[in-house]
Parts: sequence; structure tokens; C-alpha cells
Amino acid sequence: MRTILRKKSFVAVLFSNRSATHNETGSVKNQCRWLKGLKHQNRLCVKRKGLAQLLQETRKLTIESCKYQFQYEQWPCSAVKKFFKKVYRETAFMYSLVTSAFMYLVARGCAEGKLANCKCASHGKSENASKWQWGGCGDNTKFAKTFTNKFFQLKRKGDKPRNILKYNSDVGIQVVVENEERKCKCHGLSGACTMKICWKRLRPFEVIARELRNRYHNAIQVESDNNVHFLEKEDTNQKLVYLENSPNFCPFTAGRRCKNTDNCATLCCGRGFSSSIHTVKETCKCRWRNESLYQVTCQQCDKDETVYTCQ
Amino acid sequence: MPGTILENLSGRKLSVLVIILLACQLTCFLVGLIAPSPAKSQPILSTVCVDNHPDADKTNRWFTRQCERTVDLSHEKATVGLDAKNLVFVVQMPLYNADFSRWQQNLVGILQVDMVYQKGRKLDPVVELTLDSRLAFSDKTPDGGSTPWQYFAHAEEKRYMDCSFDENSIAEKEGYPYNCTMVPLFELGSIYHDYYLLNLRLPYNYTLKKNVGLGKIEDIYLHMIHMNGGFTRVWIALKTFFFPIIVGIMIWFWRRVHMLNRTPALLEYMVMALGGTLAFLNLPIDYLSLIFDMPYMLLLSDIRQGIFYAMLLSFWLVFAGEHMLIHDNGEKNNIKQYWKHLSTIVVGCLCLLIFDLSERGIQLINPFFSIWVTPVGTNLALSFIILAGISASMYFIFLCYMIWRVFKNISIKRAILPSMSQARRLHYEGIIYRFNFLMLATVICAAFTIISFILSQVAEGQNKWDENMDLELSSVLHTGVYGMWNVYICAMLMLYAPSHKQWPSDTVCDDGEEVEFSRLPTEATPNEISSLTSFATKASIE
Repeated sequence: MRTILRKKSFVAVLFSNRSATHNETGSVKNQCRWLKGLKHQNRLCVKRKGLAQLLQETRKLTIESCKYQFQYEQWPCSAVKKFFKKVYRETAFMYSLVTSAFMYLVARGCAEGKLANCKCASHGKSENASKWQWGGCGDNTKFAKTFTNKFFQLKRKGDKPRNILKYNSDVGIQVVVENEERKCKCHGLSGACTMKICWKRLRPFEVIARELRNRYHNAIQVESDNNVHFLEKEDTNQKLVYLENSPNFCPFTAGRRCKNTDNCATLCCGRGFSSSIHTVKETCKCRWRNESLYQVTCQQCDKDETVYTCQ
Repeated sequence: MPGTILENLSGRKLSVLVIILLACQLTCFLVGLIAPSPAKSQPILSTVCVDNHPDADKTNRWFTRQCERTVDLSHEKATVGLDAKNLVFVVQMPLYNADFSRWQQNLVGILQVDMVYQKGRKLDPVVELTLDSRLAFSDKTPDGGSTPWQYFAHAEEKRYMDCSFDENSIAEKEGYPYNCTMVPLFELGSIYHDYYLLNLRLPYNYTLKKNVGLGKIEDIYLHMIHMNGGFTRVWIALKTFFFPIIVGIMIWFWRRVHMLNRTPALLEYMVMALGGTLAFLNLPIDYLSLIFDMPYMLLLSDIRQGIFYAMLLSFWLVFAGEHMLIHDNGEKNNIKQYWKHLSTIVVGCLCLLIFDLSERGIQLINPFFSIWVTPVGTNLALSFIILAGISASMYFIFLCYMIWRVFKNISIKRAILPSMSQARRLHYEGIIYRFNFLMLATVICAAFTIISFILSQVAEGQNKWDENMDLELSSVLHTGVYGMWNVYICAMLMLYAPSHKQWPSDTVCDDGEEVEFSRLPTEATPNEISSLTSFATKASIE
């Protein structure tokens, strides 16, 4: 087959079960051990302070949000090995999701000062103090974008299926960039607008993941990477692209829960569904715990809930 | 009679002067190109530390980013067993191992509190925050380390935050963030130290209604705004450049006035005073802030600017008035004639000064102070601003009325111009033209200031620009406008300096009787500053 991906990729490693059982503590080398098959990423992980922890957060965030976004979809975000052999729609989604989660967390890590050598984003490579004195620091997302490109080696040329994957990673970056909210504030006496200062603020990752799920549904199939070059020209609303048709997930949806009758019709592939009424505990009558403001105390109430299950 | 240089200058020389001034103006714009944007902001995500002894004395206990135990507020289990008073939000400024430079002038902190939706709990649209904030400072030591944190300021202040949540469009509400406004936290008038540390607590007290309206907080960001060192350098360089020039021109101007055998006219006093306030504005005392701790620099620069604008507004008023002569009783060139008009400026400026003092003045003692959080303070601030607004509008009504009358006088005179002799007519036409020219310059300067103000607001709001362009439009506009008013006042000083050329001109009698339009250069009217003024006098008499 012409679209086989031979090399191991970071995304495949991230989704594999092996990395999930990985020991999270210990030295930096230990923390990066799950990347040992990946030369470039492993080197960066060991070298840059704070990145090891950030990569583990990336894995957690990616898998959690993927499972959450796809809980009522035919594909339950199960990363089977074959998804990393060829470029399926699911592969495209996973690549974009990992890239965006990484970029999101880098921007956040920089804002907290957790990630070393974040640099002043507006000045790219410069690390000397005079640049900071002269022009201050730019927004973190700019640096996060550069660093994401570096970490995923997105600027390097690859073979055809790799280019498709890189393109999908680019979509992930683009969605993060699109979810930067521009906030402005007047800077002057009592906030008088003698000077106006704007900066970017990232929307929560859930918004980004939801947008990527929408793009998963609108993904398009391409023949070769010539189409990718064509697609790259129009830089607004990039679509996810894939090469292979997805396998049929229908045989595996039996027994899964669906949200409502509409959702059940698609998820159960027309086999029908059963509904039953369960009594579930739900938090209710929440009120403030008298001593803390970060916690509300709630009571557990019984509530009847209809549970739909695919046949 | 000796007129001003403006009237006696030949068209060629005038155009050369105008070109030089325009070149100067253009340079000011180009200088702005090398400067970065005037100020920059940097978001810092606070680290949440656990204070195990919340009731102990906090004055010299500081939590840094490397504190013993941190919690992640998004995980509910992490906060079990902890009280509000246990949690300290730590922000260390600046990030990335950098240190502040005194060129960065001032520091403003704005707080962004990210709260998320929780089932069964809806936030009020206006949330009252009680912030217990402490600032500490530290300095670099020669060996590369830093001095221990030292107390800088502490206050418990209230702030109001508007929060909204679009319940209809969001399907999965749980854990979705509220859209809350940001709240200003502190303002430091000088960055004297290298590092600053903020320890923020959100004390909860039901009986005192402290922080009772808050939702589940996930993150607190501090947006730190500081001036850019590069911009300060360019700005001070501009000041240092203009200061000796203005002082030089003022000396030259005053020498010329004193060479004449008469007491200086009111307009000459006004031009001198205007130059003086500009020189005061240009005085580069900012250099001192690099050596000394001068937290009052913000207040001082507000006052300097205020004095300059007050003088500029008074000058326009007197300028218009002197060319129209609102007084008909023969008593001329007296500032007392303008008391009604000038009092609007005085009242307006005093109001703004009191407002400024009650915000920035108190911020010298308590950097967390804001006048807008107490009802009394809000009313006080609003009433002063409204009063200043009323006097400003009254001023502009006065000014517009005066300018309208000047133009009316001129048009009356124009009507009788054809009956004059050829030479005299050309002479008067020239004066009218140059007066209009200067009026035009004033209008253009004012218009340009307003346009650039709007542009700098829009340019910052634009999303596209900063992606690939490193050009800073707002700094270009700032230096451009600053240079423009300097150039404008330089032009005023030069063009309104008395001319030494014994230009053949018309004589006007002091008492305003029959005016003889003879071209005798001998008789000089001691009190008249320009023949245009005398011309206008004549016009008003007729």
C-alpha cells in the first residue's frame, strides 16, 4: 500500500497504552522515558526544563478531551494501532488534537513561568536582557506556535502521507490561534484611554477540542499531497484531510450509551436502542461551605434519568 | 511700525521656514519607527500556594513560585481540607529570569479571575471581590543572586467585576468559564527595584460579606503592563532634543522684544509663557528616575501636561481675542479682560488636578487604591469630571464665538479692500492670508491630534497587524503628535517675534480716531504687536 507510515510518531506513542502506564515521577530522564523511540522529542524533553512534565500533561489533556468529545460518536476515540499505519480521518483528528493540546499547554506553561527558556515571544531567538528592556515580551501564543513547529518538526519536508499529517497538525495550530481572544485595556489615569494595550487570551481547551471535533466531521479525503498544497493557499478555515476511508465502526457500537433519540439513530447504526430509567444521584441544593470560597457543598439528590443503550 | 516676523517675512522665506518645520515634523514621525510600542503587557498565571499558618504574621512571610506545596484549583480533590485563607496566589514579576529596568518607568497590574460554571449555582452579574494583596520587592546582587524579599505595600481592597454567562448557546455548561471583566489591581509610579512579588489572598467572611459572591475559581492571571524601555529612551531623547531648542528660541524671542522701545504686548507675554510651559514639559527630569526612586513621576508628568494644555488653551483664547478686541474702552492688552474666559480653563484644570491628586496622589501611599470602589469616591470623581467637562465645553463655546467674530471682522474688512490702493491692498491681503494660514495650522494640529488618538486606539484593536508587522503605529503617532506641538510652538515663537525690519506700514492712532493709511515708517505704536491687530482694531472701530 502506498500510504503506509513507517516511522514511529509522537502522536502514536502518546496514544499507545504503554505510555499511559508510564511512571510519572522520578528524574527528568525517567519522565521522558516513554519517548525513548523518538530521538528528536526525547532530546528536547530531557534538555528543556519543565517540558517533561508538560508532555505528560499534554498526554493527559489529549486523551481526556478526546474521550470526552467522542463519548457519543461512533468512534469512541480508541486509538488502534492501524490508525497510525495509514492516514484515516481519525488519524487526522488525533494529530490535530495533540498538536493543539501541546501548543495550548506551552502557552500556559510560559505564562506561569513553569517552562524554561520561554523567551520573549516577540523577539524570537534573542535571550539577552536588553531586548526585554527595549521592547518587553510579546504574547505567549506566538512563542508557543514556534515551539510547537519545532517540537513536531512541522517545517521539515517528508513523504506524502507525512505531509498530510503535518497539514493536519497545522490545522490544530490554526484552531488554537483562532481561539485567541483579543482583550484590550485602556492604560491611563483611572483607565482613561491615553494608551490602549491589547493582548491575547486563550479560550479554554474544551472550546478548541470541540472545534476540532467539528472539523473531524467536515474532513475531506484527498488523493495525494498535491491537494494539500492547493489547500494551504486558502488559509482560512483549513479542513482536516485524510487518505483512507475509515473502517466501519458499527459492529462495535453495541452496548454503548447514546445521548438522545437523534444521537442514538446514528450511533447505533439503525439497529435500534433500548431505553431504561435509572435513578441517579445528582448534586443539588448547592450552597457555600461556610469557610471556603473555592468549594460549594452540595447534597446528593435522586433523579430519574433515561439511559439509552445501543442494541 | 515694527510688525511681527510673520508679516514681514517674504513668501519665499516663509515657505523655506515651513519646509524646515515640516522636515522636523517628519523626523519626529520617523523617530517613532525605531521605537517599540509605548507599553507592553505580559500575562502571568498565578501559582497557588498553600499557607499552613494563615493566622500568623504575614508581613515578612513571602510565598514565591517555588513554594512548598502548590495546588491545582481545577482538580476539586486538591482543595479538600483547605480554607480560603490557606490559599495564596503568587505572581512573581517579571517572568523568564528577566529583571525590571528603570527605563520601564511604571508598572500596572490587572487581574483576570477565571471562574467556571457550576451546576446549581448562578453568579450575580456583578461580583464583589475583596482582595488582600501584598507586594514585595527584591534586587539583584552583583553575584547574580537576589536580595531577600522585602515588604513593599499591603492593602485589602474591594473591586467589582461584571460576569456573564450565555446559558442558551452553551450546551455543556458544567466547567465552562464565565466571561468576566478584568479588574485593575495596582499601579506603581516607578520601577525602582528589579523584582516584584505579589501575594494575593481572597479572604472569605460571610458576616462581613467578603467574597461571598464568587464562583469556583480555576485560574487567576495577572496582566502586568509596563512602559517599554525602548520607547522611554526615544521619548526622553525627543525631550532632550527639543528642550534646548525651545529655550534657545525663547531667549532669542525675548531679546528681540526687549530691543524695542516699548513694553511687551500681551500676546508676546502669552507666547513666552506658552514656550515656558513647553520647556517645562520638555525638561527631561525623567533621567533622574533612573537614579532615584520617584514614584511621583506619573503625577508630575500629568501636572506638566496639564499646565501645558491649560497654557495652550489660554493662548488660543487670547490670540483670537487680541485679533478681535473684545474691549471697546480703549484699554488693551490686559489679561484681566479675559478673566471670564480664562476662568473656565482654571476651573476645568483645577477639577482635573484634584481628581488626579485623589487617585494618583493616594496611590503614592497605597498602590492598590482606586477611587471608583467606594460610592463617595465615585461620586466625588464623577462630579469633578463633569465639572471639568462643563468648563471645557464653555471654553469651546467662548473660543468658537471669538474665532467666528474674528473671521467676521476680517470679511467686513475684505469687503472694503478693493477701495484701497494696490500696494496697501496687497499688504492687507497678505496679512489676512498669513493669519488664516496660522489658524489653519492650529486646526490641522488639533485635528491631527484627534485623528491620531483615534488611530492609535483602532490600530491596537486590530487583529491582523501584529502577525507579521513589527511596525508600531501607536509609537509613531505618539512621537509624531508630541513633535507636532513642539514644532507648532516653535513656529509661534519664531513667527510672532517682533521684526526689526522697518517695514513700510500703516499707522494707527492710539486713541482709535480717524486712521491714516499712510505708508510712513516713522511712527510706531508702542502697544501694538502686529499691524494685523491694528487692522482688526480699526475694523472693530468702524
